Amino acid sequence: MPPDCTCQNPLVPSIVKVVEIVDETYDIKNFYVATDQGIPFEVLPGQLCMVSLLPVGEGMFSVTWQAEDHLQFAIRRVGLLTDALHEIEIGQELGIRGPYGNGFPVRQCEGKNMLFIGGGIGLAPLRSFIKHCFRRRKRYGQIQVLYGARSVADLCFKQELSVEWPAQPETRIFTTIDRPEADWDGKVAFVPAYLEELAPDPENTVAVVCGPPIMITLALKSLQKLGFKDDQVITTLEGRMKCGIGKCGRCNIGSEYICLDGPVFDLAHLRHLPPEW
Amino acid sequence: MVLQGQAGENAVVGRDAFDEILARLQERGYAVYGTVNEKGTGIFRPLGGAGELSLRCTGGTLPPKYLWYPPSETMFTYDRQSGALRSEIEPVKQAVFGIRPCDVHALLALDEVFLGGDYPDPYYRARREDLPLVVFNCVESGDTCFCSSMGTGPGLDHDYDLLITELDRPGRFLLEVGSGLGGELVRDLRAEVARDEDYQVKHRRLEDAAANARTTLETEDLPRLMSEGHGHPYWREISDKCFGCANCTSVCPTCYCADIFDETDFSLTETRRKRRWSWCFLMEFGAVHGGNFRERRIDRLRQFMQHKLNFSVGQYGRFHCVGCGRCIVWCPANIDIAQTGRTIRGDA
Repeated sequence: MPPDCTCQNPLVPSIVKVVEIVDETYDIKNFYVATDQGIPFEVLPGQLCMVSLLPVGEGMFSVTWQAEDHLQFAIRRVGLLTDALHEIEIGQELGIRGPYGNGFPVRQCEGKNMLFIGGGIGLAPLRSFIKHCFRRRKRYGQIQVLYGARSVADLCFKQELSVEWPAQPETRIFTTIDRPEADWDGKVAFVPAYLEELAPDPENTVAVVCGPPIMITLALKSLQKLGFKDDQVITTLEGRMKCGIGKCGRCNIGSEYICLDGPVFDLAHLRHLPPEW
Repeated sequence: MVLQGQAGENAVVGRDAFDEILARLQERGYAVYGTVNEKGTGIFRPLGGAGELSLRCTGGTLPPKYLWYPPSETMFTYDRQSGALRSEIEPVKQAVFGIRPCDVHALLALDEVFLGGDYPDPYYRARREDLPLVVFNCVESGDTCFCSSMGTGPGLDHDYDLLITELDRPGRFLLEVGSGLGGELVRDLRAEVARDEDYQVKHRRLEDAAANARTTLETEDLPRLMSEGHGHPYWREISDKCFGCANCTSVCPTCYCADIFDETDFSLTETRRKRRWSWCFLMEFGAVHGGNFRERRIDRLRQFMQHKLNFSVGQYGRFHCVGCGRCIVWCPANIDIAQTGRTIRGDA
């Protein structure tokens, strides 16, 4: 390998620019990134990218939307790197490498009714799949989105949740918050409880779940109670991945790496892994 | 006889041949590392002369892994003025004199991790591509060695440039040439013709070393039994003793987990993205925002051992435990991976 060639080096990022930053909530921003030519590479819904803000560091983020000319990453402010990302402005250069992982089984889900269950920032990866379905609306059956956050201020993608998505044919959007608020006349419930109350029909339906660990655990139980089989339930896992290419070992669970074999797993598969997820 | 220097050629040599081999490696520009006895223990370090080499069985307290997978390395630098990323990967010429069969198997395991799949690692490749191996077969078993159980020793029959087995008279060694480079290292050396008795002695010594292993672990069906034993009470027993010090993972010849981070020096002009060994025993290893995959010490200890005796087989088709026994030696709590395997499978 010639010394200056980074083209074959999977650990050196390529450079993209931030072309838009949308404040989703007080602690979530959606970053639109692109090269001068458009998207840096093709990304499938649910796939992951390593995003670098030099000299702070690098982290794995799931794609929130793969638009024609840019990629979106909705990122919550929770630590050193994400704090720094929340301080950047349009025009900032970022490093990017990827895409990594399997992504959602968008093809296999065609012809099915889709039930998306999200909590908090967990809507970010689901959104890449939800918008994919709307772009190809006829290929999917009924679409239901159940989304919960701690409070109204924590709800992200509000415009889409309240206006754009409900306007889609055969689509129902259910939004809930954890505790009552004065100016909220919508549902107040935890996501798993609301799910059991709505009792969606498992017939020809695939449930896609993403949210905080506790929500995932309880929602999976609720789905089981509602009659969903393990192969009808898919979720996307995370780990504090350092390389994205199956070498750093950080996202190892059983004989799987979340970065290579995931991040999307169906529940039937997960049941074969050690009970660590 | 005089050695022709061909792969597949064998002969009996004396210890003086080691000096010649070492000299020829050095002439060809290799930094040559070998096991040297120092302060009562064996370590891999640059060899001054072949006389320093320890022939005592066991590959030293630390594996030679750091030669192809350094504890910390710079992946690229970032110039903070220009924004340019610079990755300089120079081929590294190193050779190991006296590497043991278990460590060769560990190296082959790391080859699959770093060079297999869709994303070969260029940093590893630069250290691996030109890496002559002069292997010493083990004619004695160390107290904690269980290579014969893991199928990684005490003898090797592949992936060596030169293979050396000590015969039963002191100072006589069976030399086997495994590659063209190995041939070049011994061409024109004066040697004795290897006779049938010499091969018989080699095989008997290797068989004896295997038969006399004081540590054993039955590997038949082990991955399945380890999976079924996820909830075995023995995990609690050993994790109650475990200090979580990560000694075991630090001395393991196959551990490859890493952290990747950015480091800026005081001039503030340049940032280096570095990769540094990391260990599943660290609390932060399995941490994600809002949770931790392995919050308890029992989870972390089990992860280490399950990865070696179970998960690696599902991932790479081989055990990432080569039976070198170093983690047993280094454990301050006397936790023993072979004992753990035996207990979980019900052989203890």
